[in-house]
Amino acid sequence: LSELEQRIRRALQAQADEVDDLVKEPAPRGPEGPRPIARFALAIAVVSSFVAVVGTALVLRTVSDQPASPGSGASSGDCPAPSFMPRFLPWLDDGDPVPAPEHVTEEGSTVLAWFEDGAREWRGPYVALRTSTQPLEKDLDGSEIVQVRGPDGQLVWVGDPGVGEVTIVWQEEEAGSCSWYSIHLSSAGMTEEEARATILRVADSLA
Amino acid sequence: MVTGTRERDRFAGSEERFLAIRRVAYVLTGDPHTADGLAQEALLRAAEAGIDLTDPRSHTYLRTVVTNARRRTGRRATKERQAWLQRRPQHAAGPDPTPPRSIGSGEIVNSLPWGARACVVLRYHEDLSINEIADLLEMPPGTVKSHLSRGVGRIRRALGEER
Repeated sequence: LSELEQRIRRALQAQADEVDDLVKEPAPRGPEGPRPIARFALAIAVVSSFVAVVGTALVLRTVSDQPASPGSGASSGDCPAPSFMPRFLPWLDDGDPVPAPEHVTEEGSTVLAWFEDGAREWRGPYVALRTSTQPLEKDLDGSEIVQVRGPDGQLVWVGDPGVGEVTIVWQEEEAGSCSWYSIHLSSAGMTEEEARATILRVADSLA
Repeated sequence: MVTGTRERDRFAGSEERFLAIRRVAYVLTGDPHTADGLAQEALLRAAEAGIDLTDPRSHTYLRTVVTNARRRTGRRATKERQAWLQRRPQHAAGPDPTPPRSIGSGEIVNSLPWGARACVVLRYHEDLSINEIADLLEMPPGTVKSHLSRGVGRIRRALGEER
């Protein structure tokens, strides 16, 4: 780890150490009234009572946020899904229809993703089309300029060139706050040239 | 009212796990009360799922619950944190007993957007790999790298500005 990374690690550790004291301070009152006094023992007592009286399934089913399973729905994000999508994916035969994408939303961006064989596996071959409020990718200075849907796009390598992770980032200002787009290809095994040619073909197919 | 001894036994020996996941929740949210609630919620989910909370490996499950919950309630959590921060000086009688926080206390991390913050916390507090973070946050590894690059870059610049 670099010195900076070690410093970040220590800072997070120090911050985490504060929480035991901070929870003793009063919690803010929201519009729905005071938040429950969050205490571990109380939680145990409450759940024990509920479980004994009402039953585990009935009580706990009302609370969401189990670990998400692959393919589960996502919460609403700040950006709508792009109104266009690729008509070419590298693992499809010519003429094969592009399947419906997976949606991934997070604060400030929405991603449509297509996975080879339909398996939601981020390590495997996939294409991701993102719209976001800001250019997410790394420093764009010095990257290759390519054309995407009219505007100039910038072709950047996420990670090291030659491992098949390549992205084209561009902006469509008329799209408002979510004006930044990127199309990403991850396909291990491709050479840098193959990945570059493939992402350009995917970008050309956006419609 | 009958209290379920068997149900209570599910939590036996789990306080250490609770404190650990609350620490994670706090660095993820920046709000101690939200963190406390998330940690409790995670423990309840784990109990429902029959997870052995005395097993250190249960931390992985708890971390997933907390991360998902924070991700899905981002705006609410942010508002609660702002409310808490606004309330603190009013609550404190006299000078704020909390010493001024240096830039190294994690305040920079608090200021990061959710994606960058989550990636930084999971990478440097939880020691997860890029792929593990990608799986947990359900985002491409390339996006994780971008978030990390952006987050660490902001921290570096903030540190540089402070010096």
